[in-house]
Amino acid sequence: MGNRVGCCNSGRGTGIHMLRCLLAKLRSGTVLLISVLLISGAVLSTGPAVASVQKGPDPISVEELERWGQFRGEQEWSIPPAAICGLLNGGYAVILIDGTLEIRRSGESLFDSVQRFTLKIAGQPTCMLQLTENRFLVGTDRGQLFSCDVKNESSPVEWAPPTGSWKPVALAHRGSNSQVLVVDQLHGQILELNSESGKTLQSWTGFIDPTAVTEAGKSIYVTDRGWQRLIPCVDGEESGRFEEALGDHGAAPGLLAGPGGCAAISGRWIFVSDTDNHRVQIFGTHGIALHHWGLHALLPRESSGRLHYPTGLVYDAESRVVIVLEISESRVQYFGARDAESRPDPAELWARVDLISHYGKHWAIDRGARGFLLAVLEPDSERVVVLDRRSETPVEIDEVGGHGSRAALFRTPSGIDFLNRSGFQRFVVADRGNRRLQMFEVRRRPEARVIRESWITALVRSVDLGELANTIPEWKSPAPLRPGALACLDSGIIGVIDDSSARVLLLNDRFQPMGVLGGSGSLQRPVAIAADGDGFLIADAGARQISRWRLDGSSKQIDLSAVSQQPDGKMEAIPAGVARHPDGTVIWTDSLKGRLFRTDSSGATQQILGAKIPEEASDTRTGERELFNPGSLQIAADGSIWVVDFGNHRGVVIEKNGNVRHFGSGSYLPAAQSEPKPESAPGGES
Amino acid sequence: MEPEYEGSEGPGWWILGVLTVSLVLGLVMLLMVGCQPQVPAIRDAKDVPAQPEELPFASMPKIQADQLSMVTADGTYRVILDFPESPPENREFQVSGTAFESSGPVADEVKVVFDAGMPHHGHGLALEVETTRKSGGGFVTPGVRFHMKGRWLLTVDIKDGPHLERARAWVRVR
Repeated sequence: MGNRVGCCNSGRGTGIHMLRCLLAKLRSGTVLLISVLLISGAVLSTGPAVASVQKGPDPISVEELERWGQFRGEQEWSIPPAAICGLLNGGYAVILIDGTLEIRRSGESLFDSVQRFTLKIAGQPTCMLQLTENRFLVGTDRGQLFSCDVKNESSPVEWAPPTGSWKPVALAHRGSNSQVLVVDQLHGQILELNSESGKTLQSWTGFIDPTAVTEAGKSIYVTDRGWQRLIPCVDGEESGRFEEALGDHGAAPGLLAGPGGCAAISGRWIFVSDTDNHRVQIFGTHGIALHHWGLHALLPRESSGRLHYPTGLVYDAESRVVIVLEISESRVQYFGARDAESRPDPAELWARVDLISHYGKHWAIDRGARGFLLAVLEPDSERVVVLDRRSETPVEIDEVGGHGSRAALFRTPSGIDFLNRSGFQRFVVADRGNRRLQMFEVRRRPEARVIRESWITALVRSVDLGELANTIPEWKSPAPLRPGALACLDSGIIGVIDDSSARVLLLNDRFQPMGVLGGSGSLQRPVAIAADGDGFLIADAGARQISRWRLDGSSKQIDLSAVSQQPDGKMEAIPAGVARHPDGTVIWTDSLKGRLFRTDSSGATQQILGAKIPEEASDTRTGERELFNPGSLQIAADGSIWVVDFGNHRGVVIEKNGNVRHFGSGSYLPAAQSEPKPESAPGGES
Repeated sequence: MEPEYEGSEGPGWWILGVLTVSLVLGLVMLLMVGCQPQVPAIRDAKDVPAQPEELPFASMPKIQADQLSMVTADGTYRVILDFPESPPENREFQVSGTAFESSGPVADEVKVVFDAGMPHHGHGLALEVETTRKSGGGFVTPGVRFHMKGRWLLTVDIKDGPHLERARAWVRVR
């Protein structure tokens, strides 16, 4: 070493000597040079994905986007999850409806490292976002937003709404300025809040039924199931750019049906949960739908890439996996990109062009002496289907609706009931997105031949509830009306649940305002309503109670104390449908555990349908006496009980003699489950 | 073989006789009635019956040729539509009309929307139309084109403030 230095510094100036000197210098720097090259090579060979995810604008190339949809795994819970969010250091978190927060990160395998916390918040969670390592922001169905420290037992800190009230249903980080985005469904607006103080920085309005928000590039993108679109918002503007919105209602690629979630993975690509089409679509901010995957489950409760009403989405950049929440199935599924060489699963290739339509959570039967009609809401296709219900399997005789705001169309039909009248039967439909009621007349006599005719259902009248409320002082509320379930009394009085203010609006059969029930916190989250003589029965999913309301505003709770209670004193059931039986008992459904109950005036409660203990439940939850996420119910004049088994896409009828029959989607009927499957052992049942 | 009745004598002459006598008698009775003294033009107040309230839709004119009458389901509104007896196929024409409520033509603020479709084919008009209000309950919808033969359902929506009612009528394009 010393020689080489001395040599170079000897000062002899011949050319040969200079060359030797240069070579000596090169030799001395070789070790350093090789080291630099090796380190660079190692970084380039092992970490290009990570580098591109974190720094590049598009971590996934278009070519790779088209290979997305490969099933990588799933996770189920016994209690339904309410919301999902990504974690700052990779992984995801899910909050269950009982307030349990579960954090999942990848350890030896995908998301196998689990931590659980219990959050002490009032109400049922609706959305969640991680603020710091231990602090989460959680929205609830009571219109509150809490900042919760999972490692600290101290009470959650509430972030106050900017205008007195709100209903946060989705949250997202804004990467460009580290602020927080909140979807306020109550006012149909998106708020940008300071991530530390919760102070409102800006907002965008004009949304009908916003469900999720994400940031891509310089814009905010919002999924809205009222507009059925992905709508961009730009800084400094007051409303969304609806004229530049992506999608429209439909099933073909690029169209959407009830979009329920979105997650941008770069400045250009956005994953969208196309909920009612049971798929995930990938949109570019340039407006082109690039790819989609997903196929409605062919068998009840089937996963492995089959999707059932996907909602929340999280993209985990670390594992390059998208996590898809399916609240209706109490699970998440993980998806990634398949290898370019491998063949895609059929669920990835399916290109649907027609809307799949299922029974929604509400239906109605006519009350005429010769009653024969069943009218079913189908929010997937934004229509009402009219059936002749006299046969074992009701026959579809007409349909009405479609997506839109013009008369006779719907933007999410949310409630239905028949009026009691002679002559042609009439039903009233609540339309959440258009904030109106519409009355239809079925011009079909009972003695007519049972055939499908596309003109027998005629629009009679409609009323714009928002416009009407402006003229009625007692109907005015801080938030826009949001009509939900409805019921019609024999006297012609119509009661419509207003979700936004947890109250019931009363109208006559000419849609003239007659009054209001509830409000001021007396109801929390009313989800079902039924005529009961001169009053109404109201099922409150938030308070987990059923109460009877008289038209003078007085109310009395139905005694449901016989149903098992949780440690916090709440009933271990969530009422989702209610009706008064001619024998005087109250019949009601429990969406939490898939049960049907009968409660008499003394409070004695008998379980009619559903598993009595979890071990009794079948794998598919489609047994003859099982329900899965049931909705509303109706009682026919003959005393038969008609239940919408929403989660099983079927109707269940309990006849007067106690026999149970089913109709609806074939693969969900009990008969389909008892048929031996080709791959099963002889005589085996699923 | 001829049927028997073809060869028998008919009852023609005596029927004609009876008819002639009846006509003469009728004319005589009409002449007698016409010669009666007229009822006085001015009657006592007590003889004047109370003025009855105007009948609903009394101001509505009678339907003429090439007009169509429509009524909303609960009878709140009636519509006279100027509509050809034989609507043309695949040719644009203008539909106009007048909407009435029980007391007379609807107010100028009331919105009226005309539309048409073929429900059993699952489609409406191929080209959307727009209805413009006129004074005196009138409205006009240019550019209506029935692009195929068959039964078409016409609808007229009448929107007064938050309330809307619909009238329907069927026509056939041949």
